[in-house]
Amino acid sequence: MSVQITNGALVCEEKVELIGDITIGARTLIHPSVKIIAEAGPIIIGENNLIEEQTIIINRFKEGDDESKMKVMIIGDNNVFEVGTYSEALKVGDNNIFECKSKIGREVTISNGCIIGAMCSLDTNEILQDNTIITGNQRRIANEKPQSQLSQLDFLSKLLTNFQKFKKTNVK
Amino acid sequence: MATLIDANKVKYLCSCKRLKPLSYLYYCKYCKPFTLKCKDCVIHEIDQKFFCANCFDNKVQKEVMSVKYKCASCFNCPVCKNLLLIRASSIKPPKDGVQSPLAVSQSSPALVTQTPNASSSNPATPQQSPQAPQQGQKVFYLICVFCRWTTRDVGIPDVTSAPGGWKLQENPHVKRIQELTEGYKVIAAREKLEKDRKKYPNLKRRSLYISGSSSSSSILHADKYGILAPVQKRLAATASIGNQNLDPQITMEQQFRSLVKPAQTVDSFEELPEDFFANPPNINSITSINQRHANPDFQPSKASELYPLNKFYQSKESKRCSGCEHNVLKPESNVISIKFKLHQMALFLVPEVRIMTIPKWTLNEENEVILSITNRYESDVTVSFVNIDNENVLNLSGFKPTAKIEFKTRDDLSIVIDRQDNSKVQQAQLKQSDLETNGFLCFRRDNKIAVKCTVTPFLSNTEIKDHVKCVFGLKCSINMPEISSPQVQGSTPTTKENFVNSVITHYVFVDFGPLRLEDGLKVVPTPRFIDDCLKASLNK
Repeated sequence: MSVQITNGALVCEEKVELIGDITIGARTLIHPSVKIIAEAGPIIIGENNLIEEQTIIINRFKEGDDESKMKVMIIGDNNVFEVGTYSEALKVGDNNIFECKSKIGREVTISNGCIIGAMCSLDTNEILQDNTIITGNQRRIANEKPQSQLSQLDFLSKLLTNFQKFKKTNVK
Repeated sequence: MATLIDANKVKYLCSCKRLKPLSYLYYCKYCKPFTLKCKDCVIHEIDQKFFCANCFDNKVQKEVMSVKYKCASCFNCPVCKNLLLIRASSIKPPKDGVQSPLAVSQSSPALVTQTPNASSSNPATPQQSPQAPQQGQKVFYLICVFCRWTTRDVGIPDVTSAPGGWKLQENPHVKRIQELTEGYKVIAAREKLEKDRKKYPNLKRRSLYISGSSSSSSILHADKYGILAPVQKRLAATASIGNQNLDPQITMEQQFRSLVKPAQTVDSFEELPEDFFANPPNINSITSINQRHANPDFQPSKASELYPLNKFYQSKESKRCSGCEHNVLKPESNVISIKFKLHQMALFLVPEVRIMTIPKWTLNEENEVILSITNRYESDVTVSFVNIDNENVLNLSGFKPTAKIEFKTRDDLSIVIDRQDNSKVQQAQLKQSDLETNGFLCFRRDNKIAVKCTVTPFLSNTEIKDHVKCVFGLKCSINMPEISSPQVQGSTPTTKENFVNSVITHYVFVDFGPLRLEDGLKVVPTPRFIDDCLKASLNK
């Protein structure tokens, strides 16, 4: 049970809860008051992810699950979790955007370039196609993946270093 | 926020015997006694000035009609109907693969260049591949910030010049529609002319201004009867159309046939592709019924055929009293302004009743409920409460009271509610006269009071899930400046405003919600400020 923060990742100290076996990739930015809880197996977060305030990423058993079987939660690269996202999804690919207050169930597999709109709740048992956009009560497939949020990530990492204390990195 | 969110809890009786929330009602100050008017009993008038709510471009009706009420520069998202924003991006050195989809979309017959501006800056023809924008050049496209739909999704090429000039769909039937409207215009004009002739048989010979054969006498004629210039113009136009084929031998039908090609009967349809029956539908790629109806010209069935929707021009609406035709609501003519010249909302005249507490209901027993009453009128209002047993009132609008509301106080008690005074902050405090009501009036601050009343639900077992509903009368006496009607005003100029005390009884219908508090509904206890107010008043 350990939290591994790769060199270059920025994990704010203030009110951030990291419980269980968690690996955070390089250049990933975690804002204050984020909860990442690995109850039912480890959580592996990739690189260049932006995890904003009050996001909850949780790997936990559903009712009726066999509690002896651990499952790994894997979150890919370049994902954005906007303010107040709640995610239980075991597999999240790359370049996805979870807008404010969106809620993802455990059975959903998010592939690449998907956008889950604000306040959208997805608790189905399915694999989302690449570039799926879910907004309001509609869904469609976009032609291209959403715009990269790297510039925002760079800006925030510069800005936040002036105001926040960060957790020490422990993996090179 | 009962005025806005739970507006349907407390309703008032409109003059047309409908029940409406106070925020949906108007009043007419010319009708005596002052009557409440809802949207169904006022006359609606649409302003002749049309404007786009996004770019504030304003036009008169004739101009707007010619563009079918659509703004040329503002668009809504075809997927979610939010506003599309223009986004600029600089283009990277062109790759071979990027250009091909653009070239394909240009050769499509449905796409037609809209502005000459774009074609001049981009001299590419459908045969040639479009000139690649130079490195670092800015291009513009439309994006919906809500659902992230872009014009690139449907293959509309980016625009290099100043924003505007996106390639949009053009209706393939536009010519036919024009032909038909022209044809019907002629027929309508002829029909009108013939009708006029039947009405005034002598007009045919005398109406020289219609035939236009003798201009001098026509002017004379017009002067004689004082016909206004626009009417004259219209008559002349009608005459010119009607005169083209005025041979009575030609029937109207023949004339129409000569103008319009008859419609073709369609014998066979294209059969649906085999996939349609064999493959399960892909929900992601078909459009919803709302999306189809938003674009009636094309009614796209596939998500890939969704094109930006032009924003519609809007117009302001003024409302008149149906009884005396005075304005009750008149917006300012300036399109940017959201203010009103005349704004006679009932909210500004009638004290507003809100439910303050909801008890745990017990059947056939008295439950204590607190109602608040707010005065938004510009002077003090005296109110008193009337218990209603009148069958006539209870039978109105299918309102079936399921409870009896009682105000346990003297019958002649009248309470003065102060006018709103924003200049000073007042403490919640009861007046001396309020204390004499033995706790009936339990709160007073600024222009708001709260009163205690008892509600006795009398539901039978079968109606146990019903709402607790009751009705009472609110008798208001208001000092209104006397208003003489405009015709009289001209003859007798009033130097001093006379105030007339008018007493109106409003019927208030209150719905306290379901008797059984289930599904997250909770008892609303007495707020603490009511006790504080009582204490503060007693200490004084």
